[in-house]
Parts: sequence; structure tokens; C-alpha cells
Amino acid sequence: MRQKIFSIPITYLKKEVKNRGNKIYPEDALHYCSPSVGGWGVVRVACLVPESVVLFVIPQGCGRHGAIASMMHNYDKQLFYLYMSQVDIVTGEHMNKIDKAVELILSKLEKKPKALVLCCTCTDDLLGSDYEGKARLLEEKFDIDVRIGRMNPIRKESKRPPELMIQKTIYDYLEAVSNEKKDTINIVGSFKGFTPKCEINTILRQAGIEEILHIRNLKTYEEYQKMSRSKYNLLIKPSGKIATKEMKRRLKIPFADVPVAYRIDGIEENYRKIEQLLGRTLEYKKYRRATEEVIQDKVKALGRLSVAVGSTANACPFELARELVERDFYVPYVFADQLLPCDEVHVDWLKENAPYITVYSTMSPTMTLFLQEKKKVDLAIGFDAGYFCSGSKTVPLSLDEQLYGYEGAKILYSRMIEVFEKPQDLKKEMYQSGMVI
Amino acid sequence: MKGLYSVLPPFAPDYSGVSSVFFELGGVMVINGADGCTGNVTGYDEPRFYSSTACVYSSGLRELNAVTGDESFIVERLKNEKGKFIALASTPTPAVIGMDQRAIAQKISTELGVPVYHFDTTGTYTYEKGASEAFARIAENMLIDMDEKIDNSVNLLGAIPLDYWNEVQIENIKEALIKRGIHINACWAMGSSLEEIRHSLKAQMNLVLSISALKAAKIMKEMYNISYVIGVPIGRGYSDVVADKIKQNLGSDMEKKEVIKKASNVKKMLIIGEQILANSIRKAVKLEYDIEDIKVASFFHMDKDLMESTDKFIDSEDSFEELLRKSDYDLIVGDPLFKIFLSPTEKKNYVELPHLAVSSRLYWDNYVCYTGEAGMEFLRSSL
Repeated sequence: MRQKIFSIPITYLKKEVKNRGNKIYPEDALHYCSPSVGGWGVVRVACLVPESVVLFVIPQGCGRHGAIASMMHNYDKQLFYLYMSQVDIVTGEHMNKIDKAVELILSKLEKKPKALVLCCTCTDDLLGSDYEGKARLLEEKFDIDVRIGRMNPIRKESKRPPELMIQKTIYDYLEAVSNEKKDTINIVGSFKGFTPKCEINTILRQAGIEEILHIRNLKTYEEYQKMSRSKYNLLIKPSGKIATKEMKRRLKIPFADVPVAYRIDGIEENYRKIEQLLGRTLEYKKYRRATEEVIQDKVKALGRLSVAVGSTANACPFELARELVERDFYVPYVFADQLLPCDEVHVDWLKENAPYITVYSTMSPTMTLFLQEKKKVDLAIGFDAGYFCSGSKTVPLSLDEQLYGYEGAKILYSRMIEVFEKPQDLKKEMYQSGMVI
Repeated sequence: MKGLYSVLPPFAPDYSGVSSVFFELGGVMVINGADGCTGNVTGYDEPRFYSSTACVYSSGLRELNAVTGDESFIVERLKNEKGKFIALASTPTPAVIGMDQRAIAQKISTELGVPVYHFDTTGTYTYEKGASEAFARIAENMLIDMDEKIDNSVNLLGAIPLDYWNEVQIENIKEALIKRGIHINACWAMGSSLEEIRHSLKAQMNLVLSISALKAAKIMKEMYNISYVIGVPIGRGYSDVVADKIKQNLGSDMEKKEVIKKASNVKKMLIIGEQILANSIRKAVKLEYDIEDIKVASFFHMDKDLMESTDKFIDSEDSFEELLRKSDYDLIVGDPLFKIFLSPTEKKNYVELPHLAVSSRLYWDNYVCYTGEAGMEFLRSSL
């Protein structure tokens, strides 16, 4: 058995991962898939297109986790599966079956959907199946908008990984309109819009923005099309990067890269970037003092806790770790499999100011040893941090709620207090969240 | 349309079945594919994985490996792993590119000096096919030949969580048999160590608990002349029957017991599930109640010799709907997900029996006791 847990001291992190595409996990090892990793997955994201149906053409083994997660979150009514047999794979016959499957799906539904997301997997990537051609034929035959989604994790390390490409797919239905744009703003990359109380809603409206649009809040296909007329995009999670670039190219919507931040300085930097994008002044500074006061009270109440930070938290993990270190928390562990561009500057800061931090990749097979050692912290942020530091109080900070801005930072500290008052069943919470690798 | 599913989720795939069999045996389980394939297993098909330190890993197959035909990466990545054995199960991608699993297994075995068992699973079949191959591999390759036999002893074959089982259900079975004078040798593959399983030839008989283990039982009969009995002890009456069958095979004369059957309002009953458990429930019910028309149906492999004439293998959602519509069943037993197909009235006559290979984590915490002497109680109020 292995004797040593794979880890990288924060002081060597950037140097260590530089030559392997910012991957933190070791290249010469198998991959560990703990129950705590994953996100929404391709299936749930594909289901975000309003009034759509999603047809997966797959070997049945590929679709199971996504299907169960969708059932847990009531997305399953718009999901359909066409299973490929071994004979289909050899003969390509499954491509011919798609037409009949679509015909049957449409005939079963009470109301004709406006869009079809046709999803394929690694199998069809390798077979070179022409899904784009099939999509055009289906559009013509059934008078429905069809775009292609790809659940192909073998491309995870490519420039077009599935978690980014499926975000592009869900905006590919937006039709390019004439130059007449509206003073609305799209939120891209996240699975939910901002929480209602988040100050950004007020700040943007005060600056004249008529509406803040997020795909999740748009109930009809027609409403969703409003996004194509927006003047601006805000990219708030890295997984929307390809989508925003494509929307800039195709729909002429410029974007600001303003990832979720919990540091006050980071929050203000995001507002400055939004000001530049909009070309208007935003009234955000007045929120700073009140936020600082609230956070300081909560930090005082919490005391100097040891906190582990994970990458399943709705955050850039090293930015969050920096925020906690700046507030005098002790952060011994960060769990992350990849160093995101938005985190690089924070790794530099942590290298100087918290050189004791050890970074663990949850994908390393040696994480079974980590589990055996039963390392504990006072508090873990993110399901992965909670899982590996078992027995620690855990704040999931999940993707199912989009914290942002000053309000997000305040909520973070409120959650940290709440978890001591009302501890949750981590296993239950984690499984209910339906995360999919 | 066969192959089109609009209601039910994809069932547990063949490679989940392989992993389920080897999970507790101290080896290194490698699912050869992209990480998502392994996420299916560890997150959705293996309730024992949470907090465990079992070595179930993804090979981490990527596009570059697939396109260039690079097979050596698996050997390289395994160099730091040392388990009692390595099991290598394939997923759709290696199957599509024709990756030579046998050659990879040989190379790993030569370089690392540990036994490697490879499985040409494809993700296009369901779990019982993979589990069946895994149990068969244990029977063929992992057993220690020995003269010593333990009197009145059996191995339990076919216990994996995907086939409903958890530790409590297994204990119920053991308890029912022990009470009837039968010694339990090894349980394949829950609750027994690899060493205990390797010493399975100490047992005089095998008891097959699920269809996944039938092939292994036949191999052991052929290779080691160990007979087998098929069935799950459910309820007092049927537990007696199973125990008597085992004893008869071991040469004991059994007294025929007369059972007075109870009347029931149920005239037509359908049990949907894994064939051997469903058959056992049928037998247990028929033993106690005056119900003649009980049909067994399954989405998973059914052995023809174990089917009654009206039993049905379900090959699509369409044929399942047809099966439900053809007859008015007074009582249906099956996974809670199957209720989606029923009307509100029909749902009233439904008894839930979660099948992990169908509904995964949706119901895996909904414990229903259906084994051992108390194994009929979940049904009794509906009969």
C-alpha cells in the first residue's frame, strides 16, 4: 500500500503545476472519485433551456448518475434516453434511430417543446458521428431548434471540456438579433441568479440596468430569447468562459470576468470591472463599511478557528482561503484539483502569508490514506473539505445558491456561525445535492 | 420503441456489477474510462463507498490516450498501487476503440507481480452481467483447493448491494440458516474477507442468492463438485424449505411438512425485480397463502430454467407498460420508481421493494426487511 499522501505545499504550488496545465492532481496516478466531488453535471445544465427536452444518445452506463441527480431535482420530465447497443456502436445504427425517437417523444408530450438538446458522449466523439448534421435534419423535419450537448469527460483536460461546452450549448439557442440592444445584463456561468437580497441587484438597477437575466429565472423560450438582446454579460463562474466568449463573437455581447469573491477588495474589484463594462459609475462603496462591521462581529463570535477549504464550494478556493487567512483563521488544508486563473494571484499571496497551507488533490488515490488519518478541523467549507475532514462542521456553500457581492460575504460568515448552532448531516446533504462528476 | 426510455433512469451498468463484487476484498478496482464512469459507481451504485477506504479508481482515460492507442498509461499509473489483486473493468470508450484489456492485464501482472483480473464490460449491459463474470472469476481463479470440509456448511453466493442487499439482510439470512442447523462458511461478497472466500471449498454446498452468482455456482459444481441450491430464505415457511433443500442435498431425510394455506383477497400478483429474490418471494407467498397467479418480471437477466411459463423478461419501457396494462394485478411488488407507470388506484396496491440497481440513492436508505424469518412481514398486510 502507499505510505504517503500526495500533497503540495502552497509555496510550491504554482511551480509544481505550471508544466502540467495547472492540474494539481498527479499525472502518474489513477484517479480517485470521492462521493464529494462533482457539480451539476451535463444533464442538469442541459435541462436549463426553457421549454426544452433533452435526448441523450448513450450507452446506458453513461447516463445513470445524471439521470438520478435529475430525478432528485425534478428535471426528469424533460429528459429522455436512447440507449446504444453494441451493434449500434459497430453499425452506427443509433444515428438512424434518433429520428424515430424524437418523433415518439414529441408525440408523447402534451405541449410541443421549443428546443431539443441532443446529447452524445465520448463514444460518438470517437466514432466521429455527425451530430451537427443530424441536428439540422431534425430541425427541418420537426420544426424545433436543436443544438448539440456533449457529455464527453475524456475531453476534460482539453480546451473544450464538457463542463464549459455544455454552458455554451445552453446559450447556443439565442438568436442573433439586429443591433437594437436593451439595457439588460445577463449572468453567465452560474446555475442560479443572484440571491434576491444581494446588493448588486439594487446597484445595477440604480445605474439604469432594466433587468438582470439568468437562464434559470426565464420560464419560457421567448423570455429566454431576451438574453440575446442584452447589452452585457457578467461571467461569474469560470465554467461560463467559453459561453461568454462565444456570445461576444456571435451575439456581440461584451462581458466582464467577475468571479464570485468573498474578500471585500475582491468584491470591489469586480464592481470596478462592471463599471468599466457598463461605462457608468456604480454606487457600491457605501456597502463596504456596513459589510465590514457585520463580518467583524461574526468573525469575533467565531474565534480563531481552523478551517479547511474545498473546491466544491461556490467560490474560487484560494481566494476564499485568502479571505479566511486575512481574517486570522487558520487554514491548514485546501482541496483542489486544478489551479484556476482567477486564483493565481491569491496563491501568490498565500505563499507569502500562509506558507503552512498544504494543498491536496481529491483525485489522488492517496486520499484514501487521508481518510484513514481522520484529520479534523473546526470547520470545513465545501462538501469535499467536509468529507475528507470527517467530523468537522461543514458549510457546503453549494452551487444551488448563488452568493455574490457584499451580501455573499456576509452570508458566508452567517453560515459559518449557523453550522455550529444547527449542525447538518453531511452525508444526507451531500447526496441530496446530487453532485455528478 | 426499444431502447428509448422516457421515465426510468439508466440502470446500473455492467462495470458497477464487477466493482460491487470486489469492493470488500482488498484489491484495487480500476474502472478503465473517464472519471464520469467511475463517478457512476462510487457515487450512485455503491452505498458502501461513503467514508470507506476501498481502492476503487478511474484509469483517468483521456482523449489523447484513446486517439493514439496509448495503453501503457494504465500500467504506469498502477505502479504505485499494491493490493491483493487488481480488477480491471472496461467502460464504453475502451470498448469502442478496441483496447486490449487482456494484454494490459498481462502486462500489469508481469510488471507488478500481482494477479490481475480483466473484464470486457462495455457499459451497454446491466450490472448483473458484470457481477456474474466477477463471481465466475472468483470461482475459477481464486479458490484454494482443500480436503477439509465443514459439516452442514454452505457458502452464500451473490450478495451485493446492487441486488438489494445490505449487512442486515445478510445477517437475517445467516440467522435463519444457522437456526436450522446450517453453518455459514463464506459470503460472496459481503462480510467475508478475501481469505475467507478463498477457503470456500471448505463448504459442502452453495446457496445462490441472486442470478449474478448462478454462473459461479455452476462453475464450482463443474470444477469442485459442490452442489448448489437456489433461493433466499424469506419467512419461516420458505426458510424451512431452503434449509431442507440444503440438508437433502447433504443426504439428510426430511420430513414433509403440511402447511395450511391462508385465504387472501389477492388473486393476481406481480413481482418485479431480480429473478431469484422475486422467485423466492413468490414461493414464500404461495407456501402461506392461497394465491396461484403470481408472475415474476425483470428488466435484468432471467434464467430460462428458473422462469415459470407466465414470467416475463422486460426489454423496454413499452413492454413494461404493456405488461402492467394486460392484467389487473391485485398486488404489485417492486422498486418504488416503477410506480410512476401506475394510476393512483393501482398505486394503492403496490408494495415497495427498493432495488438499488434501478433507483440508486433515491431509495437506498429506505430499509425494507425482506430476508430471514421476518422477511414476509413487509408484504403480509397487503396479502
